Amino acid sequence: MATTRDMADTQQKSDVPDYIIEEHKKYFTFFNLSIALIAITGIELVIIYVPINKWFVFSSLVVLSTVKFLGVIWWFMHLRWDRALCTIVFLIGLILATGTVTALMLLFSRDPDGPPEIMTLLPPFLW
Amino acid sequence: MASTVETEHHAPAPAEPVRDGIWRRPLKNTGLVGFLTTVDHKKIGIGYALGALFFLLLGGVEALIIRAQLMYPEQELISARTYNQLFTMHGTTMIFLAVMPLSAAFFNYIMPLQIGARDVAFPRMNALGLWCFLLGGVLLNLSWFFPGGAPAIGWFAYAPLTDRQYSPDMGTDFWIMGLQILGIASLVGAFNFITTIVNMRAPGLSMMRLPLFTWMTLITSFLIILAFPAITIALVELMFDRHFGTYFFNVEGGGKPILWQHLFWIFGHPEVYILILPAMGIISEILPVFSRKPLFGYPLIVFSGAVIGFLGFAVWSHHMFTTGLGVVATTAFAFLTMLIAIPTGVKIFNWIGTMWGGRIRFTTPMLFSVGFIWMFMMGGFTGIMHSSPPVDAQQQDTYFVVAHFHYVLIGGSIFALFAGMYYWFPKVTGRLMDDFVGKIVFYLMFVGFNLAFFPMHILGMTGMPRRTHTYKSEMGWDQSNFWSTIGAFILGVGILIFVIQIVYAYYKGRKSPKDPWDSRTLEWDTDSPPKEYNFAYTPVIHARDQVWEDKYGVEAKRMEKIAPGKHGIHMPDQSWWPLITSIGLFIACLGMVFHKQPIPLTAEAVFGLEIVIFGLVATFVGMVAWALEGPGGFHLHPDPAEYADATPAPEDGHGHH
Amino acid sequence: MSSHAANTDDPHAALEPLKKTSTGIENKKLAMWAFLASDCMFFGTLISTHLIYRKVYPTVVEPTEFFDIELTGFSSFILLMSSLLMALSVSAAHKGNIAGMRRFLLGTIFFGLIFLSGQVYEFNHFVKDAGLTLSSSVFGSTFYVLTGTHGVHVALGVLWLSCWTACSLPKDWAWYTLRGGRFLWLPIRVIFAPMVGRYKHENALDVEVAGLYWHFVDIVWIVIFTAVYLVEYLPILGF
Ligand code: HEM
Ligand SMILES: [Cu+2]
Repeated sequence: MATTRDMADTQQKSDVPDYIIEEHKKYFTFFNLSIALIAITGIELVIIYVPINKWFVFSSLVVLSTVKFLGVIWWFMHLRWDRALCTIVFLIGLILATGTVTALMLLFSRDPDGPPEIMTLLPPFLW
Repeated sequence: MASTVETEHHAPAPAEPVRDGIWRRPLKNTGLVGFLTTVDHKKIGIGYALGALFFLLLGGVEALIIRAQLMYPEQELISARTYNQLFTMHGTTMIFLAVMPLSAAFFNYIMPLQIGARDVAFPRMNALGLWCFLLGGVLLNLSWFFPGGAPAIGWFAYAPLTDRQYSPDMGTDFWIMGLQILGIASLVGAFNFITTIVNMRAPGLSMMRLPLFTWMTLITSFLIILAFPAITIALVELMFDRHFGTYFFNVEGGGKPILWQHLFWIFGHPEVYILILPAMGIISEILPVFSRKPLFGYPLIVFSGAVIGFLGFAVWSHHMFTTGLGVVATTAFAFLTMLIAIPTGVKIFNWIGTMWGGRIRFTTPMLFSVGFIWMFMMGGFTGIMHSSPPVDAQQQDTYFVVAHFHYVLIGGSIFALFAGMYYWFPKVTGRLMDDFVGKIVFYLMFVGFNLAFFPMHILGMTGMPRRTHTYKSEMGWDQSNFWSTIGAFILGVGILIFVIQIVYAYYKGRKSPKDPWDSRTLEWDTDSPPKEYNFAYTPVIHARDQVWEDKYGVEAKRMEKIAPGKHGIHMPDQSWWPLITSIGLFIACLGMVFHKQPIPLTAEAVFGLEIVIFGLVATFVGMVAWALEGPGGFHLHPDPAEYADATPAPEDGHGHH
Repeated sequence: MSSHAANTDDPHAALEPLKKTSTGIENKKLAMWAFLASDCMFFGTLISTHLIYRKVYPTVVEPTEFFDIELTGFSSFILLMSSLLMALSVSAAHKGNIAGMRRFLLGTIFFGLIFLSGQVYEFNHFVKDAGLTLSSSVFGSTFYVLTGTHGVHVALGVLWLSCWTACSLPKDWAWYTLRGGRFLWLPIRVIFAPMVGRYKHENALDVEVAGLYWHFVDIVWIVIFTAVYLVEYLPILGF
């Protein structure tokens, strides 16, 4: 593949600027990450069918998707290489959003009556 | 005009000529075209201020009609429906079209000067914010002229009243789409200010040297970008309910109206801090100047501002105590609400500490500032009262709450904004406002305001409901209502005199030196009014109150100045595209209002989504052209006399950008 | 913001002037991160709405009856891969490898379009075969508006990346873009033709910023995939 060959070239020539070498290293990080992401997605798709405690599966899903999430922002979105301020700004929004979603979820509870019959004018096959 | 203009495009001899988009960029920076295409933060700030003052008067007239209707029992000056429309439009106008944009006017005009920047980070986006604000205000008020008239849903538009079934007219749609455009205006402004403050500070101006107003601009901007999404989505959901038959808040299909309350107040509570934090920033600038003392406890004030902002996202349900949230939730929200009183109290003590032992000059801005502390505190006390759920159960939806929020909004925000206008007017126009007239305005406003709103506390405690069209004499509310109306008119007269004074001072006021108040922060170091390029030199900051140090401080803390490089000062080009893009958005939103609605003349629904699509395409084309056009730029060469005491620019640098 | 080094051939040097800010972070990048923080709240609100109604009415519909988790899994895979390509194209841009950047961008756009087609197919299937519409139930309302908003984000991302792809085409393609490519609808040609040949090394930042947006759309999907699709397969709702 082109990229690996480029890489080999770089190692021989010593006058290649640092930033090029940096970018080359990122290639491998990105590939590894994407393989991990796909593997995790595969695991997620499988464990929902595994007959074990549902809450355990649920927790695993939360953890796995969090890992995917963090992987993307940390490497693909360059936070690892950028100044900390970028991470901080984003985390403010992320934490606030997570907190708000959680609080809202706790504030609502199941409606024992269930939803009303919907009397729309749609033809019956649409509802 | 001592500066020479060189309209060379900045990239040194590009291989091919820079294309300018569809038509040539406007170069003339005067007249109507100059204003419509401006990207200058100062002109944009003035645009915000003029628009906001207009809407303040409009909202004020609406308020006076409300008060006239309530002056005597059982009057029929206006119908109950008109009354409902008036308080809805009054509240919405005051919050979104008067106080917020007036704060934004200061953000725009003052903040870049305070940090020694040449402009904001994205000048064209700044212009987009201005046009979206103005067009949003227009859209909202267009509702008066369509069948059914203005919305009659209250400023928080509770579901299910907003359902098509209960509010069939277009007024509510105008309200939804108007707020949507105003949201865009606030959001683009906020992204811009955050980037500007964080990234474009003058050398040496560390975060802990930032003037307090700039700090509060930063925190407010964060509140805007984090709070507005909630209402944007809530409005989208409401729009879908009204136009596309969804059930977000529609009980018919199982929607829960209470969800609207939650989403609205997730936005709504931070919004009240969006209204008050800029005011606190203004006060924190003015008090030290007229006490001739540095701000007491600067880091604490910054920190409390941040804490207020953060906690502001965790208390929204205190607006919903009476809806039955459950014991745990109610307790938690009550506790967090009471907690906010602490950082707020800290600030008040700091302001008092600033004045303590100072050589106080009671000029007009100072009077308004001291008025602010007192009146805001009164509003704060009543606020702490209804942070207690059982107390709130008595007060909710009564005139007590109306009294509370007017004490914080008028006694708080409006007083501080007036203080700011009196304080910075000489900077903006180069002319002084008469102090004697200013004091008359203050006392009229102060007395009128208290006469109008203090009795409302008692009215509320004795049971007068909020949003009531009229009342019976037997209720015993006649006296208070009468005096309240008198007070409102006195307040109105005060504001009217202010408007006359500001117009007069603009044309006839005495000329102002560049630092008329003996001030402390960087904006006072440049001309009044500042030149297009703000500073002829790059200021290098060595102290928090830099301009004060320059005048009275030790040698080591004096400001250094760096002269512009041989290219001069780089300025962005003007542009038509922000205006065009915002018109596209306006059309799209208007189209959404007309969607499947009977419109005048035809009295039948004629439009599907055609107008919306047209508007969105126009927006898209505007954005593409905007991007293609690029920021452009030319160089200005200030008169060398302006930076005579500056050190020459280093070889590689290009001086001040 | 102006960069006097704009016409340099050194891709790295071209980006340096943009970093001359108080924090060393480019203005556009900082603004983008602030926007993404804000967008977290946008999607947070939408996702809350959906989940709240799942909690309030756990039995209003049985989504697993019509969900096609293989298709959705495939869509997730596509979006993740598009993120990889996006990261690679940003990397290429930083190296000054414009042709490489363009190739990866085209790949990203292509995967984005596959994702969108998947969504169109899915919506179509839900409406036709499962009778799920905006007004068939509150589930329909929240589901379509949430996933639809995400779809709109993807579509905007595709548009944005297409603009940069067009910009990165060699100059002499401008005329070709306008005249030729008969398969392209005229307004599209007119919009894109003026962009051709405008890419300079300093624009690597713009591609990077567009990339941040793209990745964000991907992480929102990671959340939606779990919260809206996968958990439906666990009978724990209505807790
Ligand atoms: C001339 C000064 C003002 C007067 C005389 C005035 C009077 C009133 C009155 C009497 C009401 C209650 C209507 C009712 O509940 O039936 C009201 C509501 C309200 N006012 Fe004012 N007001 C003034 C200025 C302001 C300002 C400056 C703001 C905001 C910055 C403001 C914000 C509001 C809001 C949000 C409401 C609630 C509207 C609603 O119930 O939906 N007012 N005003
Ligand atoms: Cu509140």
